Amino acid sequence: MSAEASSVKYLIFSLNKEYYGIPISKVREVIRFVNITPVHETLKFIKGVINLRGKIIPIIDMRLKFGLQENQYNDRTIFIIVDIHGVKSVFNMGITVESVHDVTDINEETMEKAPEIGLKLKSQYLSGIAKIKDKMIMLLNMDRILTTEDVILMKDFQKNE
Amino acid sequence: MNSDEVSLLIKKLIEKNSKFESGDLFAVAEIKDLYEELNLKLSEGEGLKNLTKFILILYELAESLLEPEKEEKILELFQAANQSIYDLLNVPEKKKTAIQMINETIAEIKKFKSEFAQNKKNELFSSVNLIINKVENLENGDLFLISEIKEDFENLQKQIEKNSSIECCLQDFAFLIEAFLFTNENEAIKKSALESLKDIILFYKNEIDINILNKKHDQRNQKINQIKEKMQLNESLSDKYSKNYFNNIIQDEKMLSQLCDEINDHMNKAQYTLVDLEYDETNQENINKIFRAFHTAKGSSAFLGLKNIEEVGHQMENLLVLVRDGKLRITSELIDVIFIGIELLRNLTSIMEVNQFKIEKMVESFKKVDIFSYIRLIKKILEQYSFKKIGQILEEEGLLRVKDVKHILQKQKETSKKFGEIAVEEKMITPTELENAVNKQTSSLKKSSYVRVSNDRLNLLVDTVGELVINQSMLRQILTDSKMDNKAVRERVISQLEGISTNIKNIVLSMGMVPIAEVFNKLRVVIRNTTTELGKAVIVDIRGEDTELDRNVIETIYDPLVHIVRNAVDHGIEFPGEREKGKKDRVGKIIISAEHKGNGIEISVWDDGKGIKKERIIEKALQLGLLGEDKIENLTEKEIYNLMFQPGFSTAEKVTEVSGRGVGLDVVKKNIDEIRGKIEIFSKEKEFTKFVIKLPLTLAIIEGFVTEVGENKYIFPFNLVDEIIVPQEEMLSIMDNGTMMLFNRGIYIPVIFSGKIFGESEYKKDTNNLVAIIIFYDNKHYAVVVDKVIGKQETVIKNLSEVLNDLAVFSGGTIFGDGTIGFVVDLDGFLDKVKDLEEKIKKN
Repeated sequence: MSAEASSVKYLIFSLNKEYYGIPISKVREVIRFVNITPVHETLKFIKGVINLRGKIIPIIDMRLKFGLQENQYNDRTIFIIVDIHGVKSVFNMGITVESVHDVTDINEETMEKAPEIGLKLKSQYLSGIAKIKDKMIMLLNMDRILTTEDVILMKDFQKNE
Repeated sequence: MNSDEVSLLIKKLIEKNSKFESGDLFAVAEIKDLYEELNLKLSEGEGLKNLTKFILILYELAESLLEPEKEEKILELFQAANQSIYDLLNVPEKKKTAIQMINETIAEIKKFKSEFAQNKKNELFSSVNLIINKVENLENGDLFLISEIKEDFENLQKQIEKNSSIECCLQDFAFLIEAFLFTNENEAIKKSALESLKDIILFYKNEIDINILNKKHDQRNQKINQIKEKMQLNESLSDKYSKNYFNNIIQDEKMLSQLCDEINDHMNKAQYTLVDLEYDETNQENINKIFRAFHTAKGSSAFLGLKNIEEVGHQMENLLVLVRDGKLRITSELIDVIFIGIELLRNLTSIMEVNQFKIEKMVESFKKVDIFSYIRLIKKILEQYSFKKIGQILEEEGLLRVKDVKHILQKQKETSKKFGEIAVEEKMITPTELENAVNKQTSSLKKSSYVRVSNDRLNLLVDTVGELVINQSMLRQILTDSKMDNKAVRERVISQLEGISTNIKNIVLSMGMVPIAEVFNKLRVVIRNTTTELGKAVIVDIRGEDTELDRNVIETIYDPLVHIVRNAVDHGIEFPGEREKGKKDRVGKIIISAEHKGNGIEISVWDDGKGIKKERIIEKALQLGLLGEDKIENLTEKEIYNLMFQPGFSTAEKVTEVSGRGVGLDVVKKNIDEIRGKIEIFSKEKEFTKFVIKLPLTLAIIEGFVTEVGENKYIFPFNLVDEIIVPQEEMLSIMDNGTMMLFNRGIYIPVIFSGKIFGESEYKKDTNNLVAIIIFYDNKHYAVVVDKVIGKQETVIKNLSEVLNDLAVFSGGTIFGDGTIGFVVDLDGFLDKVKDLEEKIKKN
């Protein structure tokens, strides 16, 4: 496969034995686990904040976000710091994953549209699905993952609880 | 002589006299006619010469009837005169007394005239003295005093015009003062002009001996002529229209007339805009508008060869460049100067129009208009704000000759060296002289004390200083932990560092602060425009305009405030008639205020209008489906008003962006949310409406009071902390509703367990050995229970990410010296949360 213009580099990580990809242009850096300062009274999947060289960055637990069982963090837990295009500004956010695998070129032609049903994940989070070797990789739309509507929905849900 | 006709005339006169009304021009003319006729009739007869003289005096006197201050007395005199003339001619037995009366009247008229002249003169003296005073205080280049003097002079001229007896000096006056106005570069002329002015005053004061007077008059004339000569000399050097000055005017009547229209149009616009500027001097757009007006005037007139218009336009443009660049503030005096310029240009265009664009005639009239004095005036101002070329300074100091300067300039074109360098190389001046000149050059620059810095850089600087403060606390930590022996040295080093960085911090933070007056002044204009638009009357009261806000906040706060203020005028304040019925003052009142409150700033807009009808809001919200029927009963007042902030709630009238009302209250709220502010409405029907905007800490670095609760550190604003106490158990009591109160210093203070508010699961709940910080906020005390008090610390507030923006309890986060993160408490949010929790408990 030659590096064609239509191919995009993706960072592949795994979570609960499933593979996900984020466009590398969105990834600011990948860091090892550091202490999280918990933030209470906010969305459940926001674990807290970390100090990244003087910047305060919120950490989202992807397992909780995807409705999976919470895992204890250990030294091997990894934070991927990503750029999010928020409503008002671009900000950084960290997501917790179990391991980072690879950076791969994914050709747009090999990308498929995410099916409406049959997946655990809501298709709106996904920008597509790619297959590399025999692995299925779900390509995440990071900006969508925290859209305000979603946040508001979750908040209301929490308040009604 | 026909005595019947004469007596008829006199009867008519008596009638006219008794019916005279102030300022009646026609009556005066008639009276004069009648006297004239009377005079004619009487002069036909013999032996009445004295009588005709008397009538002539009366005739002249009639002229003064139009002066209100003289009217009464004159009418009185007329009455006496008419009666005695009548008696003299028609009643033989009264002839003697009549003659006596006439003589008396003549004497009285004389007395009256001289008295009045004296009064006038006294008035004149004081005016002249005033001018002299001002002239003596005049400093070189003080433009505004000059324009004041000019105004005084104009008044003086009016006074003199009324008083014919000193008319002869009118022109001298005009000339002397003119000499002041425009020749202040020449000290000698100024001095002699000043002396002559003083002479003239003396001359009036000693108006006794006519001979002395004449002598003096001659002396004065001599002096004035001297000055005139000097002035002319001066003028012929630089000014006066040169021979070919008007040679390039293009002979195209159509184009010239178009140009006239264009310039007049621009001048009108500029004038309107100027008036606006008087209210709001910072409006950049308006300054640009005026600038463009003169720029176009200059450009188009240059194209048609109208050099005089071009030059005036050019100078005004230069003046406005200073304003635009913020080097010169718009003051009413400066506006006057611009107005004069506008008038001058209008004058020139009207000359063109009157002469029907015939070039010869135009030029002839043009030559009579002195544009140079105005240009000099502007140059004078410009000089103060621009710096001179090195060569010019050296030349003025007499170190270089004009020839030398030209020589150096020529050389400069060939090489890339600086002017000063070449001059030194050529041994024309010594390096020290050059240095002095350079110093002079820069010293005249001092007036512009502002530097423009880009927003980004300033923000970066603020951030960097934040880092510095954090690093400093890290350093302190390390030094405290280290086992350095000399504790004193350690302390000194760190406290010095802290002193310096606190200084830097304060300077940097104050750099970003702007007084809100700028915004408030704009609001004043908005209110004025809206009220005139709607035909309402409003007094605006502005308070606390010195309050300083972060300039980013100032930018965002303007639009919402405009909307609120417009609402207040439009929907709040009633029409005058309506107000009268409601037993209110016809004129509405709006109070706009800003003040520091707690750890934030509160801006409020209050109007004494009709208030808000709660029922109408509920009705409307129901209609729009923003509210379920079932919820109506439980609504608090605040919740009802908050419905108005819902998107789509705006009133039926849809207004476009163009009309400047592009925002509804929902957008207002959104804008304020953006800067993390809060907005609240208070109102009482028929009485008032008040919008309160609370803005959080805009300072990025505050004095923080660090505490520990549960597993995190929380920071309270230090200035709100009154004291820290460890309450004894007997000081605490539990109220019927379950809330805990602390009795401290004679007052009961509600106790708040902050752990509960922060959502911490493990915090100290045991009432033994509680640590409570007493916070005084918004005139109330609160005892906030924390686990542990750490201490005071400079705290850099960092934005919590957008994801966490809904945490109203915090105004941000901070990073400590050891790298851990703490949260900065926003007291408003904190107390809101307390109330929410209480209500929840009540409901359950």
